[in-house]
Amino acid sequence: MSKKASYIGLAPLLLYMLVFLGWPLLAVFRFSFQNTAGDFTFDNFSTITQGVYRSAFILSFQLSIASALISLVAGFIFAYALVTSKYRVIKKFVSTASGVLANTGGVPLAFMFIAVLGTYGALTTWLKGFGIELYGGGWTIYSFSGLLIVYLYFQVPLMVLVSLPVLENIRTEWSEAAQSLGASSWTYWRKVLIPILTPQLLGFFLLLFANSFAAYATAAALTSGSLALVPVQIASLIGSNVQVDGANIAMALGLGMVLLVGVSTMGYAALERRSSRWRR
Amino acid sequence: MKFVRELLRFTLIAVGILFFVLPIYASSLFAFQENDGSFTAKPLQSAAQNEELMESLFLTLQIAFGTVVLTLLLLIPTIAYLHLVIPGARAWVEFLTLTPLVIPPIVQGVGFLYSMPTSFKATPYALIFAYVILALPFSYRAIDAAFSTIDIRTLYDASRSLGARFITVIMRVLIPNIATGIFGAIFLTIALVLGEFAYASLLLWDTFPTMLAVAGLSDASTAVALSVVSLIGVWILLNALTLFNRRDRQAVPMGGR
Repeated sequence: MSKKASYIGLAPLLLYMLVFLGWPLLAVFRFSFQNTAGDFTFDNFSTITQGVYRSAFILSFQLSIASALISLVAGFIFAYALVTSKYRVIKKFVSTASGVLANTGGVPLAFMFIAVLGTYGALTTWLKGFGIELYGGGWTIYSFSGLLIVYLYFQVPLMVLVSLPVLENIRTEWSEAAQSLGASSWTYWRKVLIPILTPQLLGFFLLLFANSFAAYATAAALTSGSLALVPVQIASLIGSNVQVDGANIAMALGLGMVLLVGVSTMGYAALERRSSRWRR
Repeated sequence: MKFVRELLRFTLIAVGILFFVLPIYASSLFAFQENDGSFTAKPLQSAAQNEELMESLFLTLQIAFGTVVLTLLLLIPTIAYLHLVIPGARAWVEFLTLTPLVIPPIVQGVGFLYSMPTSFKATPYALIFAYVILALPFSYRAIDAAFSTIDIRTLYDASRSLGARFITVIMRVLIPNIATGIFGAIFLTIALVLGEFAYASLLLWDTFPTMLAVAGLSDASTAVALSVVSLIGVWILLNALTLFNRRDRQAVPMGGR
């Protein structure tokens, strides 16, 4: 079989991806450069850099940066404690729980948090017993910081999930070698671990950022659209016919998301490849 | 010093576990505890009596089944072919299958909505075709990793020299040897379908997640009860799967590698 002919075996998968991923994406691209009448225009892109859509990008950006930073630090510390501890069983249960929360989270997470921190939530009521009124100062679970807390419940698990294998690959020989050369544990961290882990952590930050930016279900179920993140805006533009060129603006917003999420994910992939050299 | 470090580690792990468990514990109380402190299964009973909710669950399970079947039909022959015939193409095909991760589901959903013919979108089972794409980055890697751990060339040549047809090799030699990878792919796909919200809500289909979101507006305790049960259910399944995985690896030793 010639080299070229042998690629025919990939046809089913490639065709499938072309029809169910490529074609829809092309539609998004095409419609974002059109108005409702189907004429070519750049208007949608000037629309999304102003007003509510600009605010949506800023809000999504803030939420994603904050949730990525917090979960990067918290998830790393938790994973490090788990890896260096003797409790194998706990590590296994935590990693499976992380898998569930990071992947299936969405709507169930939103409702769980209404039960915990909502107006009549368990923690809200419990704290009231100690005279702490969560809802006294105008705070709600449906606000930015409320949504941030809920986002941490799929972001921290994702961080734990990706950093466990990395931390498990830290060889005891490294610290022993450093110690035998007279390094203190602080020097070992500063001169060995941090240089090794930095590109990896940077990559994880980008992954967490992309993950948070792309998330839709949690925000939709928790705030029913009152916190106007970019995905929420897209859904409401598609769902209602109020806005002129609404669907086209939604496509332009979508293209903006693909750009941001795409660039961060590519960055993650590049850093991951660079770091995987020392992981064997 | 050693003791202090151990204590610190223990505290960190305890805090982390509390972080995970507290909301699940508190929402279980919210859903299953009566005002007088006694426990009740009423939210689950009312969920079971909610016909729309049960229908949506049934639909979601059907879609999950369809997605799993289509994923396996598409991926197992393709990945076997890649490993056997053009291993040099594996890197870029894997890269290609990661592209769905770059495109947020909501954007994929909008594209799907505006590009697919109306007659195709008229049935909720059209979601199956979209969900295969959403699951692709995970399902592909699970099956590809499984194929990498076996000596597929030797298995293939040995079977063929004994007279097995290509389809027989796949069904009776390769699939049993990559069972763990297949189970991983199946599990990840089901978990994804059970939680998928963006596509279903854009296309206005009443799948389990979209119905759950609606139910949450009218009956909070039912929605919370179902949320807790579904998360814990998936977690138990996943733990069972990893247990099964380990036993399987011992039962099918692949020597010589």
